Amino acid sequence: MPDTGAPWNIPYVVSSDLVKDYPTDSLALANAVATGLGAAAGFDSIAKITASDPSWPVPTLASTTVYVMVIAGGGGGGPGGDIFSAATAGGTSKFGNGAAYEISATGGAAGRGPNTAGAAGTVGFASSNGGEPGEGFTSPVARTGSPGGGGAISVGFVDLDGISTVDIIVGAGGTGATGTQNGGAGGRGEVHVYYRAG
Amino acid sequence: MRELLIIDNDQIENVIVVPDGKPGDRVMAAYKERYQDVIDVTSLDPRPGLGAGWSYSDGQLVPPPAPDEVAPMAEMEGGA
Repeated sequence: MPDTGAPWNIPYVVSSDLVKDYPTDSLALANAVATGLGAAAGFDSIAKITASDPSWPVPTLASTTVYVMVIAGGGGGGPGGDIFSAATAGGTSKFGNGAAYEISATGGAAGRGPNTAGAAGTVGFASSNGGEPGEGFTSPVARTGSPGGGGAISVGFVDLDGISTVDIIVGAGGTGATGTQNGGAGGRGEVHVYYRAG
Repeated sequence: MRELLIIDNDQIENVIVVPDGKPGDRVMAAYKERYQDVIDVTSLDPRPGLGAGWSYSDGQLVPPPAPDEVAPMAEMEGGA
């Protein structure tokens, strides 16, 4: 089997609109791998948490070990043409805010205006929920800003034995820059919990 | 959905999503007990956020200075 370089956890976000930047052939391969992993782990349920909850109730579990995916908010898009106000970065998302088992993902960087140095990419696995840049003029030359960075994606296994509630933070998307053409807002984050229901 | 700015140690720490209505009010109240300040920015225009020069001082959000005006196109293109 060829190594496509696809992160092993891609299958868990197949149903999400947040991740789109992987090649179709890698997705198909990753799906096949996920089918085997899912059967082995026995996960049969998913909780998709779209807003912060300081006391998210842990569902009844047949196995106390859960798989967690934390997706941060995307950065706001840069402007097209002149810039009036800068975009802002995406918010950080967390599973178990402040707990020993905390899993955290950092928000995407804000998009920048035309004729500015580019920002570094998100470290590691990232979503594509950054806002689009405003479309710049086409004459005499296009001046379009950069898109917001995708929020980072962090994954991990957590043993929730004896834990009844979890503090969950969902990062917001950054605001788009305002300018001759405004940048789009970044998408919010999300937290997914995969578990075996009891 | 509503958006809250989390302030701690006089810094804007995070911008988060919470539910609308009373559930969101409960979440906001819970985080107000843990952090220095929590500000609902949902309806603010421009909306404060992480970076872009926004800061927090004396209990107030401080907007960034206006960005420098971009040079006219003719100058950028060398007068072409």
